[in-house]
Amino acid sequence: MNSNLPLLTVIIPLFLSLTVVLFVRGRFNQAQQLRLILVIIFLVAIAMACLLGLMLFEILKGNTIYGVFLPQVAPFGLRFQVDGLSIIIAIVSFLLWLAVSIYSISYIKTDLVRYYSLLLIILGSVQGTVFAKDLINFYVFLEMTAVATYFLIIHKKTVVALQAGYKYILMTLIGAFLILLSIILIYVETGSYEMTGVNKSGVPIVPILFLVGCFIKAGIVPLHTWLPDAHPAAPSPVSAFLSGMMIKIGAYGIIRFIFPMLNFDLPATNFGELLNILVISAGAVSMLIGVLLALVQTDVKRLLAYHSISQMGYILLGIGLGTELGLAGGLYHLVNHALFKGLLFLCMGAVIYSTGMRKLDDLGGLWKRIPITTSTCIIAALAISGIPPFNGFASKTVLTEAIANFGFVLKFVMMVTAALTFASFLKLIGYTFFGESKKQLIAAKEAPILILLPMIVLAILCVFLGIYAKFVLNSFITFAIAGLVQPRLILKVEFWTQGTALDTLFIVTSGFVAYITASKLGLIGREKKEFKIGSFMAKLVKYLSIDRIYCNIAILADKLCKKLDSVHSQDLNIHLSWVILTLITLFVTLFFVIV
Amino acid sequence: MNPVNISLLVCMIGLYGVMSKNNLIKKIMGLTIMNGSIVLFFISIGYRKGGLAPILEKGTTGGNPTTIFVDPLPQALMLTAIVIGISVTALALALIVKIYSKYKTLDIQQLSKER
Amino acid sequence: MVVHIPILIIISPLLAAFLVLLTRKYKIILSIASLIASIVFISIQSSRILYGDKITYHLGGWQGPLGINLVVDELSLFFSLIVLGLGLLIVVYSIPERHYGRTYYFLLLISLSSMIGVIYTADIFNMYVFYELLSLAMYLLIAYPKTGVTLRASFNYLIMGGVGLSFFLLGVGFLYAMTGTLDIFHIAEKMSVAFNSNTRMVLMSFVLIATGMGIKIAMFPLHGWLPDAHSMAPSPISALLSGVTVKIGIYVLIRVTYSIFSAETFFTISSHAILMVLGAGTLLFGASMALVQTDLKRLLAYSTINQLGIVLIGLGIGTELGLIGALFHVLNHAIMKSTLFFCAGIMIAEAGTREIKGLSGFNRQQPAITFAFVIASLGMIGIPPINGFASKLLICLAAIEAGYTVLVVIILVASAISAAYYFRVIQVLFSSPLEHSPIPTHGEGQVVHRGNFFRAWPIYILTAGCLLLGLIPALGISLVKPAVGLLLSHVVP
Repeated sequence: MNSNLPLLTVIIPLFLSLTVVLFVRGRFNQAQQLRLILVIIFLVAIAMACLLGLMLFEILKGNTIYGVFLPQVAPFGLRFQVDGLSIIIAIVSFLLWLAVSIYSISYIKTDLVRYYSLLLIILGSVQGTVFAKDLINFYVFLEMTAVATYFLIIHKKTVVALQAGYKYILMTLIGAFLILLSIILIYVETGSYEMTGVNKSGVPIVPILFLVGCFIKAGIVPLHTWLPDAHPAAPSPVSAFLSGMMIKIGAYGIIRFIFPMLNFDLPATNFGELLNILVISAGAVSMLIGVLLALVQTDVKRLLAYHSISQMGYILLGIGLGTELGLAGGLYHLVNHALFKGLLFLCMGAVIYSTGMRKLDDLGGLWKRIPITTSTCIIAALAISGIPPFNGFASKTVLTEAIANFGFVLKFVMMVTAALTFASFLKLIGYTFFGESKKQLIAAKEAPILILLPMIVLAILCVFLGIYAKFVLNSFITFAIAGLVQPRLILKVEFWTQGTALDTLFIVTSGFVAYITASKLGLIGREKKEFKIGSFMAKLVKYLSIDRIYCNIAILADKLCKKLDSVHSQDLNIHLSWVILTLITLFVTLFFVIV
Repeated sequence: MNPVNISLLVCMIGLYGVMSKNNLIKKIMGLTIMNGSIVLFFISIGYRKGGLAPILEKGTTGGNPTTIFVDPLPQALMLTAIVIGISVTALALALIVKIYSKYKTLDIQQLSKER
Repeated sequence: MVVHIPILIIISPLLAAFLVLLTRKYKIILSIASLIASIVFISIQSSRILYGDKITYHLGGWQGPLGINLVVDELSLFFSLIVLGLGLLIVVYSIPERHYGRTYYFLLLISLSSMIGVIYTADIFNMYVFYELLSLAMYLLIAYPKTGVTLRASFNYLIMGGVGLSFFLLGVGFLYAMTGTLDIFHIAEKMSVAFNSNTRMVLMSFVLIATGMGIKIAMFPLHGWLPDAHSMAPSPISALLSGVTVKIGIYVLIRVTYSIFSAETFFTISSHAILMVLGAGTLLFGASMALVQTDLKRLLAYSTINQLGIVLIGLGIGTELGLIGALFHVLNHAIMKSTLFFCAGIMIAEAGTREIKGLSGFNRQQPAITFAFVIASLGMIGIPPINGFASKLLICLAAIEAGYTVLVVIILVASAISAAYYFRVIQVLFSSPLEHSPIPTHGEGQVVHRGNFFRAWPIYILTAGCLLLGLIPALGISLVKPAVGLLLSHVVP
């Protein structure tokens, strides 16, 4: 059916962002600005809740909502298509956005106008990205989100933030240009920007370009290097939204455009299989490398950032399988990760708010002083490690079920990653909230209610999505993927079995064992370490890092250009001889071509 | 050798001067030579062997189709071109005076080193 | 009155230029009034022209191949709108510069008037004359501050420009020798005959004209004068040079390649290949040089070379889509680059330095100007929904359709490089101000300057233009499309 709802969902935040910029800026003092912004957030929340609710209601009836507007705008008309997948991601992103904006009211103290107008732009353009009916709309909104995110990352304007932002924008734009190239190739080949174009096109380079672009956006190893810099550099609520939603846009792109090409069930063309292997291996590698790197971090937010890479690996693994169950698991994990990783970043933001510290070395024994933060953080940590009854457990169970037929290796990778994740969160929670209490933390107090409220709500959601896993899976997730796998099916996944119990036991015990051995060996742990092996690991990580390679490439390019600049002469005579040379070359070339 | 080729040769000489001389004045001289060669070029295009000046008077050879006139158009054009050439030269010389008073040199190599 | 409109559009700024010399008080009002008059004249006729009705005006009542005609068709309309619109904004932007005297406005008006002359005239020698006039005015405007570097930049431009225009004139001589006429449209008619009988001379004239114009539009490797001239000139003049003057060279190149030298298909093909190759070289060269500049205006100057490369590629592809993209990019680049130079002028005045490093914390002082700068540079990179994206997309599509995938890769690589250099500037604008910086921080570092009205408003208008053309590219495309139709109708199939 056709409807104006998608347009309104996208336009209202963008329009209000403009309003914020034009009318709130420079006229009021900070308190007044905050009040006005509060009103605007409230309005957006109500409007979005109504619009998304109406669309969800319509889609649950089995319809897909279409909308084509303003055929000459941006640049070829706004075309929207809202189906189960889009609406689920849109709702999750809206919830997370709301949590983040309420959290920010107490958290963000400077440049309110710019901050909130950018948040509104991001909300609108994320909705636009997932509602896009064709490739060019997808691309336009994708770029809008990327640029708006850049300005949020550099919000603190410290040197670190600016450098992280620079790396982020360069890598993300390169990703976007790869996607654009594939879109252009598709357009020229099929004559339209339709979504199905990716799999219609016969040229193998097209989906691969698209995939690599999405990998960069999703922070997949080895294209992840912007992520561990950008997420910690941003203000905590922004990190929550970045990790919770922005990198998911890359995964959404893969689900929407690449997934139809992945299918082990169909008579496999070699090429489809290649894509499968590419996505699965990228996922598996990200899982392992992400979690290994997370283990050795000492900055709380950087640690979480590496976990984002690892968890994106899970999502990609699920998608890459090409089966219904795998996709369902991946999507479910995507939703769950948005909630618990958002929550984790918000918790760490609250810790930073209370103490002003972000190094594990400086923290410790906080549980008595900030009990609410501690408990929500523990819930999130258990959820990300896959411990029942939280939501991470549910989606990891689905994924375990899905890889059952794909051999031992994947299962092994998954269990190891889960155990190491658990170990790493033992470290994070242990060092942050337990252990000896530091002197400088005596004054730490619980953050204000507006910071705690979003955290509590997200924690409740984490529990809810875990306990009612079956219901969520079969009523929302299957319905979301109904458009991609026909016909809609009921997935039979049992959550509370011996197998899952054993898995959990394995994760917990081996996690403990890994943690204890590793800290005895000094492999992980605090920054100042007497054991030499710890610093050896740190050095190894530094020298093997892919980031170094990219940086060296960039430095090399810069040097080459500098060389060109110094060779490039100021001398007029040389430029004049170029003129003569050009004249002669042109004449000779044309002469031989024509005569 | 016909006048067209000669004029092109002169143009090349001018170009050589512009390109290779380091003295600003000599560069301008090169430019002027180029300009002059172009004037020669146009005039030689319009030249007809044995042609008369294209001035018609009452009762003279105006009506006679066999009379040859030189093409008057290039000559008219070149009056304009010469004027333009002079103004460019004048401007360039003015610039050179200013440059000399700033840098105390007319050498392009030294100038390009100055910041 | 209506009959005389084409000449009135040229005369009105020309007349005002000389009146400006006579008065001290009314120089600005006179300049603005004359430009507005020209805009009104052109607007009266624009709808008629866009419906395909070409206006021909015989100077002095002389017809056809003998007399000089002014022809206003879709292509000239498009370019003259850019010239007059930006010219007006540049005059407005110059108002706060109190020390710009009468000569400044005189030269500015002369240059604008002669640009219109180049665009409207159908007589190729007349085109040369107007072009020389334009160049003379530009040399003087660059040297207007009379500092050492501007004088040197102006002199270098004079030498290279002089050689370029001499080549152009030689090329014109060859054309006249072959066809016996100077009217572009008559030359075009006689060209195929001339081509068959005298190929070498046709080649010679094409190469001479292309090289001459190549110097004027700073095509790599003929760009030597541009970085100095564009970066040293006063900011409004930089905007004029980068935004408008260079486009005149492109106009002449388009007229010449598509009207005169389009007679033989294979000739067209090879000249197009040359344009594409040179365009790609220009593009990559400009991008990689801009990457390492530390001087803001020099960076913008190299960025001009970068963007002109894209235009040349679009022209070289030569399909309808490619031409639409190229002309649309001419419009977009004119708007974006003037915005950037206007902003740069304000930034440099505020910070007291041209070094990019010295601009830190500019966002605190003038957020609106920073916003404009950000929008325009995003457009330059080619990020939707800003106008640069639409035209780059069109050119990329055209390139792939014509089978030149490698060109698209080059364009995208250059876009990535331009992202690298523009964001290098943007992050400095947003960084915290240096402690020892000369930037005055009143109070708590809050907004201190609202910006001069006359300096800020041209920027706002242009930024609005960037966004508008980006959101609704159809506005620009509808202006460009008739011109492209006209160009392609000249090509003999």
